[in-house]
Amino acid sequence: MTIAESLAAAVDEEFYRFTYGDLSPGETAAAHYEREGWRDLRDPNPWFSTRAYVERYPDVERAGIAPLFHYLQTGRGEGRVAEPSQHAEAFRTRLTGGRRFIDAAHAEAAAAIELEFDAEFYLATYPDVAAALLDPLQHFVEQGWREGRDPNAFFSTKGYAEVNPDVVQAGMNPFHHYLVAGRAEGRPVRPDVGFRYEILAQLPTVAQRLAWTPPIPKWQVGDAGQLRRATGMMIRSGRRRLHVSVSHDDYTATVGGLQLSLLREADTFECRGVDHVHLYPARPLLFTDSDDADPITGVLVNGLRAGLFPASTVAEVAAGVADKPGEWTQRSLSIHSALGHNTPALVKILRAFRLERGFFWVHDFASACAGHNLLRNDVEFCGAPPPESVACTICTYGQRRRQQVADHRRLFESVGLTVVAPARVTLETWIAVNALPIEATLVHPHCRLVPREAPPPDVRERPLRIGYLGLPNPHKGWPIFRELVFRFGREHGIEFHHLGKAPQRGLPIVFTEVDAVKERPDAMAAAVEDLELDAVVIWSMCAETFCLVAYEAVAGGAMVVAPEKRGNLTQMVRDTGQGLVLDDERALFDFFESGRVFELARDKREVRYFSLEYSKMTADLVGTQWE
Amino acid sequence: MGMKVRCFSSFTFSYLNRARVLFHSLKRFAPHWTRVALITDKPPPGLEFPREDDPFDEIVYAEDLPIPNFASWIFKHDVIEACTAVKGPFSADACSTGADAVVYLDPDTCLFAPLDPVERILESSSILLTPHIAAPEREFYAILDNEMGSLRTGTYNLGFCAFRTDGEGARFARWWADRLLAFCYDDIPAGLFVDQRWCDLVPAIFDGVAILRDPGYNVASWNLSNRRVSMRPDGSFAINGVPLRFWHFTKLGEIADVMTKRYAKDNFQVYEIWNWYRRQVHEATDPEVPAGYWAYDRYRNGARIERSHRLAYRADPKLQLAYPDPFAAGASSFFESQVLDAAG
Repeated sequence: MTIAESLAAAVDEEFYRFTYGDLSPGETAAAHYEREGWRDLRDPNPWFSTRAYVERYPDVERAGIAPLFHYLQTGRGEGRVAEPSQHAEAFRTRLTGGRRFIDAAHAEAAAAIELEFDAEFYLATYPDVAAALLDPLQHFVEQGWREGRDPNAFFSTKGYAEVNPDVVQAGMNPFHHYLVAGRAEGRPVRPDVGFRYEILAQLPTVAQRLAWTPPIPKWQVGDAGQLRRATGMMIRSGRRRLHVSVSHDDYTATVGGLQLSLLREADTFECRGVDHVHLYPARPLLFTDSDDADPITGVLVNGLRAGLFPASTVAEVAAGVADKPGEWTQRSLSIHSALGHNTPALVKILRAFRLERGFFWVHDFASACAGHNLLRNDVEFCGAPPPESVACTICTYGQRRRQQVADHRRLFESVGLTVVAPARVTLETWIAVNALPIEATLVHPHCRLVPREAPPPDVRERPLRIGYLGLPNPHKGWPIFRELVFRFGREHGIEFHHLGKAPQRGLPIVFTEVDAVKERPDAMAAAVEDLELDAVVIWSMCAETFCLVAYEAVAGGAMVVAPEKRGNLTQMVRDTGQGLVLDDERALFDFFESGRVFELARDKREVRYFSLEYSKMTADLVGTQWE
Repeated sequence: MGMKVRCFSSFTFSYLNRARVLFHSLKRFAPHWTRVALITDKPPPGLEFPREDDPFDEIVYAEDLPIPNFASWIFKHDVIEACTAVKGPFSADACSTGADAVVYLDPDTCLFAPLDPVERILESSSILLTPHIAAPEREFYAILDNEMGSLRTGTYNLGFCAFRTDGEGARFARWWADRLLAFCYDDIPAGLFVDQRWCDLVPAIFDGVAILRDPGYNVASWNLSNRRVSMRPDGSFAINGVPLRFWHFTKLGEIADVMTKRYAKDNFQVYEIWNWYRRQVHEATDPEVPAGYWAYDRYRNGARIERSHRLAYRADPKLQLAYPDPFAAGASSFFESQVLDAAG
């Protein structure tokens, strides 16, 4: 979809004209917004504030594209937040002027549920209702419940209907029934099937996951000349050392724990006067790319974006650069991820750079399965059983597994690789689930906890503060945290906190925006400390290779509550003593129900604080060889 | 693997997709068994059958079984009754094919591990049955659904049975064939529920009957209240700690989903298995098979056969004599007599 097409669909003509009265009759709102409106920070529709978006994400302003287009095209997928326009209310009021019901039963239902109906949640969850400028309560009462929409974050309309079929037979709005009768009767509110049921019901196939990442438009792909100009910079630098790194994305464009680690690696090489080439797939796939023998590969040269090129072009230019006499005398390689790469094509590039050995980092278990965190059907850690097992037969990743393992095998057979894991337990798991030829193994943690002096204790009386750190992903334990909030969030003297990039609406959770950036990598630990979180629940479903958030939580003085057998997460809680390992979800809920969770309060224990001392990743491993 | 086993399933083309999934699982987990598709139907127009990759060793059409007056006989049955009834004559016939044992599996079952223990049991027993429920129920709805359900429809689930082709096994097969040819009806008030109620008598009238209570067999939505599914480190499934042998995916669809959720609760591995099965059936489905297709469902003029017509024909031997081909639709046909009856 072009920018114009995208905006034509998303810019609200009526809203724009109402809010900004100066449009010429011959121009559409979308065209005006694209040409100049966004530069004047005009809002394109009621649900998007241009000003809020560019203030929150300065990279969007720097990119010089219409913020709404950025949001639709990439921001939304990256979990970025769109805030409503400040003009939305005026526009909405002008249109509706209060709600009127034709049907008396609807009016009665609306009156009964109004207090517990969450309009903000409804509009955020159902953008079509927001876009149509409908009154959310009226919409829910008149049709939303029949469409299975939920009135707030706590109540499942479909779930209640399913376990109370008599309500459906009576043709009654389930939420209305629950409030006036069901709650008092002690009726079940939803099927007792657990959150994994929903994950399974929506589980995409590998083909669907592949389709999420559209192909790269031709105009974005550069040619050999362009790449030669970029690599020429290195040749002129006169540096004698080269480091090539490979990962699944452009670490300068996306922010995350791994990307920050790669930035540290790159910065260290830069400081040491080492030329640095980073290779990443232009299509950030979740699998090795065995379908495209010459995929488009992104290249960073000494931290600058050289562009996107066919892998064969990268190999051709690399060979030319490497052949020049008097160039690099020392070369090193780190592979952080082969996802998105076609491994034969990648091997050709590495050969062209004359790289025969290197380091392979264990950030996940993608070398053992197409499900890179070894979660069978995204619901249970499987430990990579034999590929012909029933577990793999019924797993959505099963069919792709052989291919992905074969792709990694080719890589390991072509390049001598030393496997580096950030934790001993991770290395042990990696060795148990892989049968690849390796040169050696190493354990090198991403960070260390260094004790520091504690700030003076706080003696104010306050509720117990339980936190969740980072993106609300199922495999990181968000559904379990949400379930804790459902059960204990409205009373019990517990205050739930979410620290991350975007809030989850409709839940009694205190949200604090925390965005770790290069300049402030320990923002999360500082926020944990500032908010005085007593404990952080990290209920991962997978075996964590490192689990930076656990270190961040501990550094900020919180205790970590974690499940058994979750790799380094469980191990680090045991090793540091700064937390608690529980057997299973039942034990977790018992821990809250029994009130034992209050023993984690800062005033009930000795609070320890730490600084985070980050590793420089591969730069720590190759640097000493060169000195 | 000393025993020669003839394994069969009975189905129509509407269940071809499910049968394909079952037979692929047989090919994987019981590769030495002879796999026979017993089809009580005729291929719908345009269907390529069998496909090259179909996992059937043999295909037997019901009309080729030794059933006297086949058209008249099958007219007395609806689709479920017919597909069940043909199990009898096929079984009796299978006893003289040189096989040592016969295993029957419903088309909506699927193997998840080898069935070697079945062969071992048949070394010392002649007949093997699995009960619907193998442990007492505790909850009210489970008692209504499962224990009282068993009292109405039969103690043993005939989605699976196995017997030797000699001695008591052969006697059983002959008896079963005779009863099913004459009385394989869904008539609960009369004490009949196709083939199942008959088998309540089996432990009383035959020797060498083994009742298999192993929870790994015949796992189904209705018996999940007493069975917990888990995954073992080697990637195989376990039911209450023993290997999952085969699953019975009764009633693929919304009814099964509600039943499954009611009993499986948060045992999410159950949903993984069901979701996989749904995908397999979907992939094995031929678009050429019309929804609800059954060749014996219509008169030759295309009119659907009412259940009341079948019941009238079944109940009255005079009608059966008068109309030996009840599917005919022209002048002086059974069809005409029924239509005239209804009009008059």
